[in-house]
Amino acid sequence: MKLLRRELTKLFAQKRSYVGWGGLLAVPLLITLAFYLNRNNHHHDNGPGGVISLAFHNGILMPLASVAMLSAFLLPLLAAMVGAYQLAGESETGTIKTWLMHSISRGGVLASKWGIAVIYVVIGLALVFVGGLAAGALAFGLHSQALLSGQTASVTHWLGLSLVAYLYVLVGVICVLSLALLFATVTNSSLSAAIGALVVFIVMNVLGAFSYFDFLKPYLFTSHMDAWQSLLSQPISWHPIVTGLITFAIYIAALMAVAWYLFRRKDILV
Amino acid sequence: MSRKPLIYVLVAVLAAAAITIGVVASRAQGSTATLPAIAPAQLLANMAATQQTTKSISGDVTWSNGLIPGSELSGLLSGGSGAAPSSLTGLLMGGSGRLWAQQGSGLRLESQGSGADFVVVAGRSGVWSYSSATDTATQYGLPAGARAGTSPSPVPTAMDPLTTITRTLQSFATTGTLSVSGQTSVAGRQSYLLTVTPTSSITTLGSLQVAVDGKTFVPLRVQVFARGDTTPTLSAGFTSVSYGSIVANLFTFSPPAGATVRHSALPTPQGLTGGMHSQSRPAAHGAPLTLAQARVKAAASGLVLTAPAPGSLASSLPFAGATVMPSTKGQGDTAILRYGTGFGSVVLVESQGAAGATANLQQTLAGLPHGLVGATTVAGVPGYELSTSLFNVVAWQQGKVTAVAAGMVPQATLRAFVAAV
Amino acid sequence: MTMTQDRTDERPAPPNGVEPVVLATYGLTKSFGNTLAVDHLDLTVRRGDVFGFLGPNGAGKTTTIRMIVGLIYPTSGYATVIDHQVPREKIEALRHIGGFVEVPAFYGNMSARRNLRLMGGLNAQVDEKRIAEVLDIVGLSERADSKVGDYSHGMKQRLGIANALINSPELVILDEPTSGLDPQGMKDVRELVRELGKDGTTVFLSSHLLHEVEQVCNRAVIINRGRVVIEGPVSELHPEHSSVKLLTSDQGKARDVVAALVGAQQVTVDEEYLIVEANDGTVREMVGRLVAAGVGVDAVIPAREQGLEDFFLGLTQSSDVDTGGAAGVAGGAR
Repeated sequence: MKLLRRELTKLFAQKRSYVGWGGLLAVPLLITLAFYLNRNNHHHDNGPGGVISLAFHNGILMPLASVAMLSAFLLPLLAAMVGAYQLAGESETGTIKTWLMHSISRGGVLASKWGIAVIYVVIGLALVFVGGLAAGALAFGLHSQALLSGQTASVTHWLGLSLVAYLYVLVGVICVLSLALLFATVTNSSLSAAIGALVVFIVMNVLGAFSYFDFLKPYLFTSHMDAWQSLLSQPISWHPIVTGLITFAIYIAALMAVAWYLFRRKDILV
Repeated sequence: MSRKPLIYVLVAVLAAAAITIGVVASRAQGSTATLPAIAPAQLLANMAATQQTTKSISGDVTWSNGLIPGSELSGLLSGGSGAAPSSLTGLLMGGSGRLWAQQGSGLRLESQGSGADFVVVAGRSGVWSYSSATDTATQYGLPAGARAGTSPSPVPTAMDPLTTITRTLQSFATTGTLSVSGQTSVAGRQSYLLTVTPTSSITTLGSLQVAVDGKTFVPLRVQVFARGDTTPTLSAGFTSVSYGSIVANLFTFSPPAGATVRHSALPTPQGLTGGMHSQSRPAAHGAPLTLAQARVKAAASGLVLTAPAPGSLASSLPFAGATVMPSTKGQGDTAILRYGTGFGSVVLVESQGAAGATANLQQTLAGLPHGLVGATTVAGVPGYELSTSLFNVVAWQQGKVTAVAAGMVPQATLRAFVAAV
Repeated sequence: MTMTQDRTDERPAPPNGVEPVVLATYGLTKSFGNTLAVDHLDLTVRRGDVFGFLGPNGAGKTTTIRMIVGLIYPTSGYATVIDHQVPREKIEALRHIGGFVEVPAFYGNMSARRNLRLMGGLNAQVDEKRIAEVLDIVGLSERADSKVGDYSHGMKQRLGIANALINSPELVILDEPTSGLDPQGMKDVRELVRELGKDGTTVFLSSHLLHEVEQVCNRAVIINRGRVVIEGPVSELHPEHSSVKLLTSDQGKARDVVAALVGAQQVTVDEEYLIVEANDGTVREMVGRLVAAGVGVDAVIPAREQGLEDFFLGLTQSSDVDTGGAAGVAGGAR
């Protein structure tokens, strides 16, 4: 739609977009560098465990190691900031009223803001994927690698798994983004909106960490953020992934429905 | 800025969560139709018969071990976020993952932790375990007498957990009361709850509960309750189950390139808890002896028995029989003396204490989680005491004799017993 | 100085079939919590009007404009823009509107041209030629490719006007377009608005300066505290009489000459000045007679501006006291 095209123009014209992307890209490069420098040290206890520790000596695992590290906090942080800024930033600069004095619908404006925030995250994740893969290939080369369940999988298989994992994390991160956008419809400060979304994210994570709240766990979208890890065992258990995607979809739909309702009725006073 | 829109935000999040409840719960919902009533004996018979009809079982499993102290903190924290075990004994601490079992193909257990798996595969390619965290594959030599080829399936029946459960339940007929205590939904299947309540009044065991699938009569969950507890001390079972056939290649294993390969012997139940299990099986070495007979037989190999004087014991722990057999480690014989009945019994194991035996004991104890074992004094001699909510163990060395007393009895009862020795 | 009267007479009749009323509000009301910002506002703007929306700061002008363009929602009442109701049909209504509210906002990291390119084509297609045209009209052609973030306030105002004009809308809404400008800037903007009026574009202009409205508009409404105080042609907004201050070489003689012309009651002495109640036409005659009588005329100062500002203040102050408003003074006739 024509609004989205304009948002794209704006996105690439802003320095801050590149700052965020640069920061994201730095992570896989730094991780690969850290592994490379440590390649002769076989103690897997150093540094983060789990999937990341698999990444010693094989570049094919860099994208997964990067997304595992990023999806804990950095990605949700960036998504919250992007979602908040797209809408609340227009209030801060006052440009929202310039847009809204044209013959366009408020729903269309909200949709294009959501769309451009999603595109931002997609580009960021693509950079991380390609950057991690390239850095890993340079540092360690790409080899077949055993899955967590012991079977060996080819490079293309790992590439496919990584892609699916990235898509999954993308949907999960869009939840945070939508939450931030919702906050941005009620506040005119992009900082408040981003912080609001992050607080909800952190609270959900904390709740999910205590077994006292186990009854809540399946209903918090944060509990499903790591479900992509079941891709790494063969045979792949799709149930947690599908459940996670459904949960994400419900959250995104509900959050954006309320955001649409609020934004349509909002008095633009800035 | 009006407060009202913030309420809308809260409503949105809660609404999303609520809708998710409906959708996710309905996906997980199994059948809830009530099952016809059934007598315990019939249920056991059906369970035994099912081995002919149910060929495959697979699903998500979870197991927990509440015996280990210091897991209070991890009890607070949600499971599934811990690290996967990296050895077979690590499995005993609890975990969750997936299980596949198929007659004629084998067994596969996958214990999942955050970012790492521990896989145990038993099938045509032998018995393997693989830890992805350490990239180590271990091949196990089978215990003698259970090699592939001696039974129709490549999986030794001793390793088939489902048939073991059925057999064990049948053997409880004398020591406990079996009852069908209710119906509940386990792993999405409406199941009978078969409860074994020990007849002994002094045992720490409260009850044993097995959830049996109402349609296929396959045990889906086992829970062990200590007396007075409402939450299980030990629990293992399916959270989702399917009976469809399983591809054969899941039961074969070949170590991935670059992995460390080790060979090990299959650990068999022995040591401190071994004596307990043996009371359910008839003694493999002849009829039980009287105390006097045991003394004589043991003395023949140089073992001097110390046992509580007949009048000094509590009435709940009468002498029940003795077995003397050659020791598996060290020299001389090992004497196993049983006191009490059923679950409320105490086993006293005495063997010729060579220097190596004490060291063995200390090594085993050192391998246990810290805090589980405490020091104590037995008749003036230093010893070790292991106390859990389900069983207690006291071990000491008197002269050349290493003695271990163990039982599913309260700590006080065992201490009193040991004091009388 | 006579142009305002000219305009009232020379407004062309709208062609058949074209809506004569471009903008009207019906009982437009807005309250924020307990504060009533706009109170049952009624006004009508006809095609070709340069309509002044006049009131002191805080009177509710910007709030009214925000309601007209659908940025905020009225508590009650509505507006219509060429047959389309706002807020119900605001997307259709906005197709006919160009303008800005408060300070025109653009993206500081992009050039004026890029900004216009970004937002210009939303209502209808706009090509580079048109962008260059409007930039030229507002006089930003030279600086069109520098970042808007570097612009002065006046340049941003001009860009706002350019953005308002880019789709050649039927109704141009300008919210205090001369605020914050230097006198030259103010002059340029007022000239621009006059040109717009001459081309037949309807302009709705809000201001807190009476003389500005006087110079530029043909009809006006004065509001205070969210209520209409008075509405009508600009020429009728103030009493017909005007006065001038005369500074002469011989005050006594001048007094006699002037009194003979206009009558003694119309002449008062204020230190070295003579205050004469006379309308524009009489002033010329008066100066001619003074010169003929040998009196040197040093200055002729129209006192009208001050008097009318006082009148304006009086109007708005009196409407504070008289809760019914001074609508009775000239009638709120549409």
